Amino acid sequence: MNLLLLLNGNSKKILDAHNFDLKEFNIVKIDEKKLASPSHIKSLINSGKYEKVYFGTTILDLQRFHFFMKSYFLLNGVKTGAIIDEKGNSSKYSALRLLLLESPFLFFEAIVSITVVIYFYIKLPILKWKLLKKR
Amino acid sequence: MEVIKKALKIMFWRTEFYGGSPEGGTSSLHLGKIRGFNNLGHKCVYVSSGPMDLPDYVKYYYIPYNKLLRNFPEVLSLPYNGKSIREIKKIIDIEKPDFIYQHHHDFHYGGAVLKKKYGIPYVLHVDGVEIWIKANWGKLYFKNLLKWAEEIQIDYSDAIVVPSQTLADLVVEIVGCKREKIFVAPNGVDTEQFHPGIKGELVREKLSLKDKIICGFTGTFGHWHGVEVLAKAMKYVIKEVPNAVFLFVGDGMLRSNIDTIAKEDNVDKNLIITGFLPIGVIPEYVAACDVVVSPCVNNDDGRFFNSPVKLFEYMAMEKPIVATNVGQQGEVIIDDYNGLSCEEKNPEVLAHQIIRLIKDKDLANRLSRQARLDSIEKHHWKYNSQIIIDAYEYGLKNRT
Repeated sequence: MNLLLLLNGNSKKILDAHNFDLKEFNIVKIDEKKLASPSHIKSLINSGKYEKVYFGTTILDLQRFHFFMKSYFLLNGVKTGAIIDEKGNSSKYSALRLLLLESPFLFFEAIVSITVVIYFYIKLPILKWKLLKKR
Repeated sequence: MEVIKKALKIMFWRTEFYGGSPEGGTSSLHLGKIRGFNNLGHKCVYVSSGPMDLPDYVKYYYIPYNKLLRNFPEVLSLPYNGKSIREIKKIIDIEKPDFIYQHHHDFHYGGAVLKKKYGIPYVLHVDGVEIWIKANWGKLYFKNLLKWAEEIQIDYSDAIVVPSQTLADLVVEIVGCKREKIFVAPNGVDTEQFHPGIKGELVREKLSLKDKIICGFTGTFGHWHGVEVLAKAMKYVIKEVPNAVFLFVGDGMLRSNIDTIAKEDNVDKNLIITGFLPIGVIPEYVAACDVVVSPCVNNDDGRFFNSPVKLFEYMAMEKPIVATNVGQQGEVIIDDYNGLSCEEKNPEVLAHQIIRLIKDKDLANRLSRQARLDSIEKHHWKYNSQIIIDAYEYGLKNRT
């Protein structure tokens, strides 16, 4: 049995796009906000003996939090997993790739994020002063 | 209603990151307003951060979010300001709109910058005060950044359009802008798209519900929609009407709660949740229903600031409606006149009203006919769109 954690989109469309058999899947709808809850995701993944675990979405390119979804695969001992969408696209999980390639990239993203936040903490009060001072 | 003499070109601007789904309340809202403008003889250009299904007469521009910064919440919205402002300036040079109608969203302040730099008027559509929404319904990581962006956007706008009086008061209370520049435009419905001539037989066949009594709800399963109350009402209705089925057309964060309640009450076999569907098929699904429900609830602070689009759609479809008497719903649905009203958060009372409409066909027909009449006379999107034009005119006269 396999597990499809459906973030958004149509589960039948997603499974058809990947030539998966609906009967081989347990489909659980989850809200994207629940991705911030590791214990919740863990309980879903461990709720049954699943050969493969997938996160389903409408469009892969417009789905956030890829790294964290794949981290859940790693942390919960999932061997075969992927993020899949209605168009037949997939981002496959590989523990090696996650650790050696995607983790350093996440670190880079974190540095950029911190820089962006600092930049806007400086920019926005100045902009607010410029725009609203005469009003 | 006075129609503006000159045909305007309005640029709709949608900025939030909404992923790959063009369905949902905001899309429905925008489509309605666009049709309203079209009805009044104005043109629209649509600039968006994601995909949209639009009528052929609307020109569409897509400004995607950067692929970086997708793994951390909130951060990705900040640099999108710069990117979208640069791109939209090019679009403005091509399209030369009379004004921008921007849907207010967290961390976005582009309308203010465009007005400052290029003098383009902008009217801000506010569905909620973002700092309130994040504090009450979500998680907020960068409170000051959100607060500053929101103050800039709201205070610098030429005019603001909100769907309810309650929200107008909230905007003034939290952000502190001038009340006179806020225009209240309740949501509406396209009574040509939603009408009683649409049949639901194909939907009934598709869902194998041919001989069932269908109680329907359409929309996103958010905090204020009251979907959990409706789920709890199911068992009372099914006890009286065993062949009743509850059809939830939509999706959202409370979906798993609905499933859990239905399982606990042993009525999960009488529940169908369709997930998000293309906006174009919604009328057929409403048509398939015998009774439709809008069980909205007040927020924890006792206020209800929304204007449920589904309510007007139900009315236009000439369906028997049960609606809770919260906020604007209590003003639109008058008990025993154009629907049945009831108190919020009370599943038994909600169920009682649903059962009344199922069992009394004369009552159901009388109320639904009046609902349709009211939708045509008072709630067509063109009335909403005209208020936006009024807001724009106010903005022109009072520019600072």
